[in-house]
Amino acid sequence: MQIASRAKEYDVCIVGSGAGGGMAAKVLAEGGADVVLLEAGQWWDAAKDGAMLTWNYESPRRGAGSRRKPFGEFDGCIGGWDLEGEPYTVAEGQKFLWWRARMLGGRTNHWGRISLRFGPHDFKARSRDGLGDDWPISYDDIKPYYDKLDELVGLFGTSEGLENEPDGIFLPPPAPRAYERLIQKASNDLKITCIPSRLSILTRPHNGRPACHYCGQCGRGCKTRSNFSTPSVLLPPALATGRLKIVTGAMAREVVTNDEGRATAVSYVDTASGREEQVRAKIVVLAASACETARLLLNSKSTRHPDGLANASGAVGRYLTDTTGTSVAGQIPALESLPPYNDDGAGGMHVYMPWWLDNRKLDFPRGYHLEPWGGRDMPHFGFMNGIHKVQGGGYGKKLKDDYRRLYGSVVGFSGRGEMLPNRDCYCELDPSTVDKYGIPVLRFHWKFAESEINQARHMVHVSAEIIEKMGGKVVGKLPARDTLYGLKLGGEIIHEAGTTRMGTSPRTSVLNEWCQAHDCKNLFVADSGPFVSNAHKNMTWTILALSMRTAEHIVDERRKGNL
Amino acid sequence: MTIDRRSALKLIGAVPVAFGFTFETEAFAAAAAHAARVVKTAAKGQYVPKFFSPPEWQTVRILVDMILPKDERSGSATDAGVPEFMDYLMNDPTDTDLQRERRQTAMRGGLAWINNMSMHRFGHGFVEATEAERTALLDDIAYIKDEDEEAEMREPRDLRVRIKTGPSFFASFRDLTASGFWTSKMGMDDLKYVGNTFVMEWKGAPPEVLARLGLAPDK
Repeated sequence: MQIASRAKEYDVCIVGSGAGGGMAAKVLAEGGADVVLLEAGQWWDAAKDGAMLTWNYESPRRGAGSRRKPFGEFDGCIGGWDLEGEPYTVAEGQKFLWWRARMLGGRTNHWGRISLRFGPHDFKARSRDGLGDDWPISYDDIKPYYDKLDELVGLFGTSEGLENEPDGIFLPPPAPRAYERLIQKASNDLKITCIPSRLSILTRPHNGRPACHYCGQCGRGCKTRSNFSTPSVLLPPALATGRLKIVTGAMAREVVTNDEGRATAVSYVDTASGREEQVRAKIVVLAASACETARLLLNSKSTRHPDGLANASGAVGRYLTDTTGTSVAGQIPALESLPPYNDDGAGGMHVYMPWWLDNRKLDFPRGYHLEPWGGRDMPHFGFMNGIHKVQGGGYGKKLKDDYRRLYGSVVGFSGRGEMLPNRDCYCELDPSTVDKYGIPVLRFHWKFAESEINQARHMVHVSAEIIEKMGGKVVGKLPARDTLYGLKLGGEIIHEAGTTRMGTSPRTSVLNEWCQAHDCKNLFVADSGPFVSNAHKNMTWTILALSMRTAEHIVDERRKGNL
Repeated sequence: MTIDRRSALKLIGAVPVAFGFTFETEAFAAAAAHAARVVKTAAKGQYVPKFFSPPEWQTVRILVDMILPKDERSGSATDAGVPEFMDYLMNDPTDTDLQRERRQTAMRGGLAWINNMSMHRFGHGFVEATEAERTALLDDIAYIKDEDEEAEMREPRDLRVRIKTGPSFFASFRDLTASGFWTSKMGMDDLKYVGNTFVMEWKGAPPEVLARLGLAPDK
């Protein structure tokens, strides 16, 4: 634990070390700024701390999840839905789940590395369908940063020339697994676009990092740094400048402002000692995650900012979105009892289905993509749970043979779609609850609109069609209206966005086109809070590109003496 | 943000990752006490269970081997250490108190239900039951096609016992047995899982696998 010096005034204080904070730290430190980075969680380095290549039987728990590791005990992300001593609340009768990472690199340690650019339509969707709002920037404004990002980090994919799925600068993709070849074939028959996926996993050595070795365990933290996470890719060059100081165990409490309303410092709790600390900085960049950033702003009240910092518009915490999601699994007889082979592959899907239809002909306004899964991966806790739904149950020798026969024969499809911001989805401070540090917590409000439910219905039916085309059968009952077609709860896809949105008008938005607060010129946001819309394309690539653009702008403005 | 992590868990259907036994617990404690009186101490072994009582331990060992017996390809569930795995999970240090209590109650109650049912039908507990009696009991609760059937339930043989309890406990217990067995080294070898290793060059599926699927080799 390092305590930032009270005496020193840094050029920039960044809150949060995930995708946005890590990128800002790299660009700013390389751009000559003295940077201090506050991270609420612990230090973590995949090369040293990751559990890659661990056998599940090395643990008596066989990889089962836990409160601190909900996605499995070997998962590379420390955090979860339910952090001890750090509650959040949800409005009466509503449901919302909030995942928070508490570690260096945040959620970049276990994300799926799905690295999709938002397309030209995504930035100007209101102009096309009259819903939501346009971003104050266009695809052309952000394209150079996506390009630089591709070159810096590296990702695989193929150039397809699709209308709203911009191509990047790709490394070659890995060949599909056997079940993915079957899925591709069925998709082609159904005229569903199915192309190599776009993941930030190296299929060739890149910028000093070795290529992937196809153990399929990106989520545990890659010890060879062959995939993207902030601590593996962005922090080493930032630290090499000698101008970045990282303080872990630093839970930000408040952005301190002066009489003119400018940010002057960030106060934080040293989580080890419980002591209040403060670090002074000329510029503050918040990248604590969309909802933590909103919480921090709402908790930063002053006479100049009575409703919370940068909240003259009242938009902080509003326009909250998540990605919509539902999944369908199917059992495919053709995949039974195949000759054994290693199909671990890269840590994620090798093919996927980008949005292939025209929403003008559908009863939901925005698109989705499908992420297929399946295969003969390492047996883990929960292995073939619910087998009776496929073969009727039983016990004894026949059951044992059924496990062998069915292993690797189940595939699934997870739909991931765009929801529109609506008035019922937002977060605010809970007036009567604080966390163990005494910081007021968020209260969430959530209600899906009919358009999201219709979208989930479409995902479910298309998934069933593909399964049937493959000669298979849906496992269990196809999700229906009674479960909103299996629609995951708000927050459950872990793609929260929009709580500090950008815009041209200070009356309806928090940030300007540079992710700079309308009401506080030396305050910037670099997570997914600035998103005006939440396209179904997984958000990390856009957080990174946007943060790079914001940080480069800060470097320029500092050179010009404007900040 | 996915591997897809949620889906990569490769569950069949939408079964939650955390195993959950789902039924009421009334009268199970009494049944368990009754079983404890009837049943003598468990077979002596190296391992001393921390959660299961001696009669429960014997019941668990019988049940898991009925579910996954030894055959020509691999040993039985007890050979693979499944009872020890279950015993560990019942006191999983990463559980919250509430989770632990729920797991323990569901497991204890389910085993007591089985024993209780055996008492009703055969006049003695499950451990004392003959192989034919055990089989007859499991045949009534081991076969469920889907949740609808699970909800309706077959004709109860004994109206004093809600037979719905048995099938849902058994489905959870079978799942847990499978988790313990197939994630063991013995289980992984049996399944011929050949991954979790460095692959220098990824070539996709082997041509013989693709041929079986009627697919052309990768270009």
